[in-house]
Amino acid sequence: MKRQKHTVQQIINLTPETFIIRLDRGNFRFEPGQYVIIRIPGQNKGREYSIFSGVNDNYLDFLIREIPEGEFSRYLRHLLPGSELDIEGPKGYFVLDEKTKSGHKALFIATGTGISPFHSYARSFPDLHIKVIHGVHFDDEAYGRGSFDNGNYFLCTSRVDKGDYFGRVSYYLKASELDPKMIYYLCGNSSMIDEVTTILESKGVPAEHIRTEVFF
Amino acid sequence: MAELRTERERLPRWMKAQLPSGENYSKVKRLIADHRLHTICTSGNCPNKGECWNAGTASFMILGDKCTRNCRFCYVQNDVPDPVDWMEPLRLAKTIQTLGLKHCVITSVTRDDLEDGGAEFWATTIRKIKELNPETTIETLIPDFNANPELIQKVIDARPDVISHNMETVRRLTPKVRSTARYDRSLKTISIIASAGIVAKSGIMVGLGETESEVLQTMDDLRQAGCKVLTVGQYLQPDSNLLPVQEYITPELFEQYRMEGMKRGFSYVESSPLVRSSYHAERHVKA
Repeated sequence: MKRQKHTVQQIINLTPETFIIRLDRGNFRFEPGQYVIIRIPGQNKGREYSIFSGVNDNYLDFLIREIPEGEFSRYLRHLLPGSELDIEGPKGYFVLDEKTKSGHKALFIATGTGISPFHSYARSFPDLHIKVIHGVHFDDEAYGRGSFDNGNYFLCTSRVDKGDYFGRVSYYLKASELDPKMIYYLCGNSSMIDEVTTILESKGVPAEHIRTEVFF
Repeated sequence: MAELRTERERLPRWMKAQLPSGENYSKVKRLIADHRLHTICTSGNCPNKGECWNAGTASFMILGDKCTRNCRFCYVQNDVPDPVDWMEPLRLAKTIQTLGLKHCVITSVTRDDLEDGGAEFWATTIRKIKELNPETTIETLIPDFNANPELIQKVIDARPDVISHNMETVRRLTPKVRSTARYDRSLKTISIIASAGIVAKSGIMVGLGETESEVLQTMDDLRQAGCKVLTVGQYLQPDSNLLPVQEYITPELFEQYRMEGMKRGFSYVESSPLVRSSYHAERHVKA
């Protein structure tokens, strides 16, 4: 797998827990929805992150949640502009299918930083016929909301009543009517993916219409 | 996503495998390279590669070497796959002929990018192998095809001797270990195979944090679905970015699993630390 060096341009702090690390793009090519392994040069330590930026952006953005006991994410947050990181990739198949690219209706369902691949889709393909349901704890975690058309982004907040829906994404989906003909893209932790897939299947969505990317 | 570990624990004494070498090993390696084929032995970083290749056998992997799923136990690369190579069935059939295999095991990456999940390609491959190797028995280790009966039927209609689909782990751990796949969907896939009267086989890895009762429950579920052959082997972390081993299961517990499986009515249970899906595969034709 190809590995190359990229320079940190900026750390953009979003909330006390999350930030964007912006790297120079160089000649790095990827498909929206893919991920990379970020490694610290000289060490073999690495971590997988989905790409947050779009294919037309001249930088590479990664949306990162700082894990309280996570040495790696804390290290990244404190990097200074000009620092170097190794990028291995791109990897992954959580890319948009041709039907969705050509306008077939799709619903993107994400929790937390699982919004990254969807943000990359939206920045890369502005004319998609999509809706996004984003589940977070607090309303300040609506990462990259500005990149989605206002009417197409729906925020579920589970800890404060300041989103479009007060409660978890799964509760919202259980109470909603879902079109089995739509293509559903899911990105988040394994419990969310498991729970939402069960809900979708119970509402008649065929397995072929469900695409998933698990943040392990 | 999980932090990648760099330190690896020392393996227990019962996990030692033969180093890859020997005349046959080199012959198999050369043939695979010459015919531009892939094997799960290499793509999956299998610990038994040395022993199997030296014995002149290999588990061939069709439909490329890039998988559309990102399971956390599997070493096969998760990437956008290359276009399907329709000459691969012929090259594979010729390789099997050259090796003079009496039994072969074929598996594939999962191709969620293809409308039929690669079912037609599977059928073509099986038919081509039979055409050039009429005496060779065939075991196919297939993806779940989203448990779509029409797609699985395409493989069944090509009449391999054994069709295997791995559960990989117990119900509780499935969402954490496999991506996209679902426990009940895999059971349904196995039940479709068994209903067609073909030997249905499955495999699980242990050492991922499952309990003994969960393993036994999986055996019950598999029997209920009509599965006749079961393999149980130790999970080994093939790469530092994949799930770490939670526990090295002792040979004694593997033997206990084997006996429990036999009690439940499986025709064959291969259960020991280094067992992988294709271990003693030639025996399972008679299950």
